[in-house]
Amino acid sequence: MRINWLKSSTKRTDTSLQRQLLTILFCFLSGFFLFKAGFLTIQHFIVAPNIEPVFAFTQNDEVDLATFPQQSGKDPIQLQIPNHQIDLPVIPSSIINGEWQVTTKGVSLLSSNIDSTNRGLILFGHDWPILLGQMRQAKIGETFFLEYRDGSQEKYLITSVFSVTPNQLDVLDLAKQHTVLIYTCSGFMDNTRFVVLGQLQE
Amino acid sequence: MIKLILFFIVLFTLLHITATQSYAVSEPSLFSCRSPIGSTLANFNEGTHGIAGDSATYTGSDRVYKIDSDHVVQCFCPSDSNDGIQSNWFKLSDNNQNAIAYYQKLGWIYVPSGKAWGLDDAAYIVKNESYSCHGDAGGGGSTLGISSSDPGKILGKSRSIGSILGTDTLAATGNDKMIALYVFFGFSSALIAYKLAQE
Repeated sequence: MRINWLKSSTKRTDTSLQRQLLTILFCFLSGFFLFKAGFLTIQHFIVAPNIEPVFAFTQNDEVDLATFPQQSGKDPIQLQIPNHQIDLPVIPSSIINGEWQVTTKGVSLLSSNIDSTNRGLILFGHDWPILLGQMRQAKIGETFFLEYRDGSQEKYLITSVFSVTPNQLDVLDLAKQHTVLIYTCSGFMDNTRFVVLGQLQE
Repeated sequence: MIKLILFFIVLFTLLHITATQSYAVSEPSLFSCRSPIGSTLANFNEGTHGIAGDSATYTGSDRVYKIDSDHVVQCFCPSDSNDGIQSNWFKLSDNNQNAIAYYQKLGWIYVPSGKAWGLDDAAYIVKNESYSCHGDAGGGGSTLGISSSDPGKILGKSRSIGSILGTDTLAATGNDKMIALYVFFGFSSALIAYKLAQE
């Protein structure tokens, strides 16, 4: 009788312990997921301090500048869209294993080894309010500026604004000489890309 | 409770792991520049041309033949040698990612849109092969009358930047989906923990 009671008691204790462990596990998971969601949301509004990549939401958040060729005076370093309070550093970026590297510290400049003759600049960035979020309000006829390492500045007139799906890569061909193409995410759950085309003004 | 946990685990797995599926796809037919068939889409005796998936500049003759609505073959012959490149273009009927990955493993190059190359605005796959172009790559078909004064719209005369970057999509410049996913899993985990604590 006593042995049966002991067995039953031990079994109850085991089940209870398992349940407690599972409860702790799911509490931890809940906290982790909600913390992560909160961190990513806050990141939209505050420039992330240099504690990445621990909290980077993807592994391609940051760009290793050492992998890019020696920079020249004609490299753009700052993008300004005055009408939408956008003033961001331009950071070289590339595509590694099919993945675009997107900085969280400014706007990314596509730098690749493809022939750049007769091609314009391609800039892209997150749609967060502190980055290119406000660009989605841009209109044809507005202007933006590119500042270069040598101190010079170029003025561009927005000649086209439109949205494309993420797989419409041919939109990049619109970046011809004397043209700058800028794009960011838009639409429900970022399912489209908002594209701005600017023509150099003499 | 166990069912709820199992449901959660299955959902998590489905959302985070891309299931590997097998597809019965066959490799498209290949056509030769040695004996081209079909109608001539473009015919350039000389000039600078582009080869899909290759960022290099090619100078020489370029002829493009439309075999049927889905097949196009481009025959490039350099001006300084006989080592030509024949590119078989095949229009995809749908953008099934697994099928595309399968073709890529077989050496095909994915081109999201043929528009920049003077073809239909549809996804294509391209296979480039070398061939000896001495004294051929001419002949068959009737010229469709595409003017060489529109070089940006003729297959072989433009190189789509998207097709040579080695990526299928534009950059992911938002993380709304990721946040929504984390919120969902956060509250799901909290619900399970609450139910477990109640039992």
